[in-house]
Amino acid sequence: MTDKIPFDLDAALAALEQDERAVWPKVSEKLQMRVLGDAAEVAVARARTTAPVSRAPVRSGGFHWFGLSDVWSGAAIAAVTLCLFVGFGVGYEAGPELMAQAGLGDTAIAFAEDDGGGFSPFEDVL
Amino acid sequence: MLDASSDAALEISSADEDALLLSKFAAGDQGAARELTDRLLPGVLRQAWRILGDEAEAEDVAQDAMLRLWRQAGDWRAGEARISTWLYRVTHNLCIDRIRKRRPTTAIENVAEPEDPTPSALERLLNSEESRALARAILALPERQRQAVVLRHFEGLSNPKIGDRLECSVEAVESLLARARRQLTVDMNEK
Repeated sequence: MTDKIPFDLDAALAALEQDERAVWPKVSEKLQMRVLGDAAEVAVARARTTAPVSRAPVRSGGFHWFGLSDVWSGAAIAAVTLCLFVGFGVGYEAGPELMAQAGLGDTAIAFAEDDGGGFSPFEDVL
Repeated sequence: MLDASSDAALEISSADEDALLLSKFAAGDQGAARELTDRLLPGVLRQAWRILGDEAEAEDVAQDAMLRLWRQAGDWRAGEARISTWLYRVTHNLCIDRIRKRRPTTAIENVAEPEDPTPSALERLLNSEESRALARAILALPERQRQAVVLRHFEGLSNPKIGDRLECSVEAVESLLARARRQLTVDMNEK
């Protein structure tokens, strides 16, 4: 009669662990590249979301004509306004003559009979 | 030979190093990502492989688990949890999800444990009958006991670290291991 040898769990676990080590899956280069590729993508996405806000100088409020500074915008607007005033003044004086030359004689006569010439949009109405 | 206290100190410093590398990665250091991958990926892959029994699937899970770690890097609060513990849990959950998806006709609430009915990769590859029988017996253990045995005897973790992974006390780990060993001995003696 033979006695059954008691099972040695520690020895069996150690043997199993050795067996397992022999067949452990290795981290393939492809897997490593996939994982590092993900890491790079996440880092890029994070850099985008946490990028510092642009420190470009902020313009003061007000009107900037064609992107000009405050001073030059003001000067340009003043120059244009002056030209308009001068233009209207010249037009007022030379209006009837110019209109007659342009074939608008009746209107020009009406102007001339009025108060010495000059353009009024309400001339015909009145 | 290392005593228990120096072993625990090594584990703590390793955890600190992982946390430091993760914070470096969050700051844009790609070298830290490479180092973390070298340190953590093999364990994640093995864990997934043991549960799923399929190398290709285990690779997908390992990649997914690492991706979650990269995404978590910016919000990681050092000192609250160990990265290895967090990763172990994430990998485990991803594996369970995979196994559930394999069996779409089974109601989720009826899926108690993540064991796959097919033989594990390890079981298929083992040559010795005793090793195959032992692998089967380990797979048949209740989930927590099985995890404790695998972490102790195959990953070589200390009881405090197993407790950390399984979120239980060292005493609970000792109890899980003792019950598992008793059950394994009974199963193997019956064969």
